[in-house]
Amino acid sequence: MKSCWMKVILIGLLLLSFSIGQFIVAADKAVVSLWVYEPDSRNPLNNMLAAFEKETGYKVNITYIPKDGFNTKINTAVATGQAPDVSYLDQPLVPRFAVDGVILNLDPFTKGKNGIDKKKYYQGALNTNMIGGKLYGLPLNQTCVALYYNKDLVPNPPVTWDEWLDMAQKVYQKGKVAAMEVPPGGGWGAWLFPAFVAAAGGSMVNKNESKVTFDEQPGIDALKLWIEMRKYSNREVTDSANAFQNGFIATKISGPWELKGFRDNFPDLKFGVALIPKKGAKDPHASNIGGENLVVYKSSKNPQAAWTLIKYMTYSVKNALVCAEVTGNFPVLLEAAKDDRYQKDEALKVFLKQMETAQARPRITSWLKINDEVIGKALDQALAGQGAPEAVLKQAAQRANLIIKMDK
Amino acid sequence: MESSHLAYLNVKEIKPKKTGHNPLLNEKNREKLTGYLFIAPLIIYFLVFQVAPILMSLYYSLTVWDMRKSPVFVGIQNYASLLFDNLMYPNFWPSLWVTFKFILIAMPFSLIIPLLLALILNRKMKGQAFFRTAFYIPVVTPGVAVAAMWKWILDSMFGLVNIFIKNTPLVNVVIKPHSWLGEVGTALATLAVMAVWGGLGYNILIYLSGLKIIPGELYESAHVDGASGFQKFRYITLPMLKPTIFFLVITGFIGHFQVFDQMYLLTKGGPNDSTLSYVLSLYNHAFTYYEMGIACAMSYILLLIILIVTLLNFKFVPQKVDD
Repeated sequence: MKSCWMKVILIGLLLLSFSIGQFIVAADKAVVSLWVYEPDSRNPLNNMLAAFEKETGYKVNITYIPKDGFNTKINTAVATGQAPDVSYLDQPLVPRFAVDGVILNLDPFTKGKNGIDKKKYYQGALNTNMIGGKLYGLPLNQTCVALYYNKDLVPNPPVTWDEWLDMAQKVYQKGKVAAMEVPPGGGWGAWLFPAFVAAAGGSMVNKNESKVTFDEQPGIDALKLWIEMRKYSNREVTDSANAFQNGFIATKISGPWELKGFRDNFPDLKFGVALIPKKGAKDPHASNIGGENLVVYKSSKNPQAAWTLIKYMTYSVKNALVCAEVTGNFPVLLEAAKDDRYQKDEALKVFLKQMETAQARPRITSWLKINDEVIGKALDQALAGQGAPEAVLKQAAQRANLIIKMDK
Repeated sequence: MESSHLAYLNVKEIKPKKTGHNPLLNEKNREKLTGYLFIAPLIIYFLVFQVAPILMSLYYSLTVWDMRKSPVFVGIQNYASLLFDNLMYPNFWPSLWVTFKFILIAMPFSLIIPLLLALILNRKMKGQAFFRTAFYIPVVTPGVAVAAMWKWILDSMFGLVNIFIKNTPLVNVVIKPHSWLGEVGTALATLAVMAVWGGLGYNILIYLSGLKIIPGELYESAHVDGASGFQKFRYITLPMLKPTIFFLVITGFIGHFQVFDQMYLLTKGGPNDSTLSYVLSLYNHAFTYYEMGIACAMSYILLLIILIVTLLNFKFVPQKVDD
């Protein structure tokens, strides 16, 4: 008989532990759940949220998730009806989530006493939240890529593609020094590619984003530059771990998130940051925008509190700086970018300047798939010598246009 | 305390005959019920976490579903698109081909090398236990740690492999140091080598258990008849190992068809999709592009392929000692 009672007690405890979590949430309605990327240190965000709780009386339930698995976790949570109230969301996912009706249109909140003045944000970053003329999130941070160069190998960074190729021939030493960390194609290469297309005076898509245009001459020229650069960049060198940091690569394209690691872990590395070289004198020093937004989910029981939170995190200079800092990217508030830490740092100043000519990804619902599976694949093929740049880009454009059509 | 315990465990002994009780809970039913209760946890687990997802994914494979909106039923469209729509799903056939190539490289080695090692380890020798443990370590090491280790061994400038090639006379004439995982020509073979190495310990263990059950008399009488070492291997060991080899062939095919970890951790399918295995492509469709319907259809196609291959194995690979 005793064991029977034990069983009842055990099962009871089990059931209780399931429901306790819900009791706590139910008891206090003003709880906002927030999902963020796991940062290097949790303190800055935790401190900011503690201040938020004190000021507003709302409670924030924060969950830290490693960046690698974040998108998968969010999608699974949405599918099972467990989405948080607020989360980070990578820019290219915002259109998909908006079209699918997963995230909340925030336009009603922007007016009135608790509203915002949209002009205070960088428009490029804010626009990644605008789908069909409606606002679906607030920008959290922004980033772009620029040219890192090794000062020992390259005293003066190249300004045009011709100068870049000249430099490549000079620094190249077979198996020892590579001219450029040529992107390997795939999703990462496809993300960098638009910067080169724009630097040749072209664009990835047409004006109303209904059709891709990367197979036109600027796209072909950009790809040919990579193929040419590959001749002076052995994989044996560029594939080695930390090859740029160890001084074996002359130039590489990357973002400001690398700065801290370079400075802290490789004190001997003398590097500089410059604008990405352009094709002709008249072309722009183009780059591409990346970053995350803060969105509110439709399933949120407390959208007003959620809005208050995302406004709190992004709309004051102090907090905008914290958000930029914990994600290793730039603030999206114009005022915050004027902060000394960006104006006085040689490298960051260049990135800020590069941001002025950086372009956001096309707001096409399946852009991620087109990026990885179509453009990335085409770059891979061309770099592996399986087909001429013209041919692979043309085929890729056909596929991309087909996918865009399927979206509609 | 002790007796009540006994009563619970062994109802029969304490209460031998009690008729006129609840007929549903008579002795026999009670015994049955006890049995079912014992296996209940596993059955429930199996139903909830295996059978239910299997059936659900069959349904989802007939839908278009991005996990955010509700699924839309489209019949067999996903299957048809995967097989015939080369423009929308260009990775289907190439990824299947990559997987086939991977199996072709990995399978023979993962059958032969462990056999040789097992033969050596089966002899009475010093340090036997040490070597058996050493070969088994990769099996219990987390895949991520193994991948990180290989990444360093294969580093194109500072990796042990390239340094060895560079500094060994003769070898450095035949092979040039290069980026093993970065070149289209070697990436897949390199991953196959890693897979063979990773599976060594398990296969050796299976072979050893197969070797242990071969009766010693067979060898003794062969010895008396003047059989050489090779003859003993050819006419006794190998035939007696047929069931073991058959088991390894079947499980090897099933395992290698689903190869994923190494690619996911080390190459992400690159360079130029040369290591984009079928299951990695499936994963991309499910969790990068959120095409759950397509991913489920792919898993059912894989199930079919594995089923066919297994049936072929049953037909053509000898499985009994006297076959």
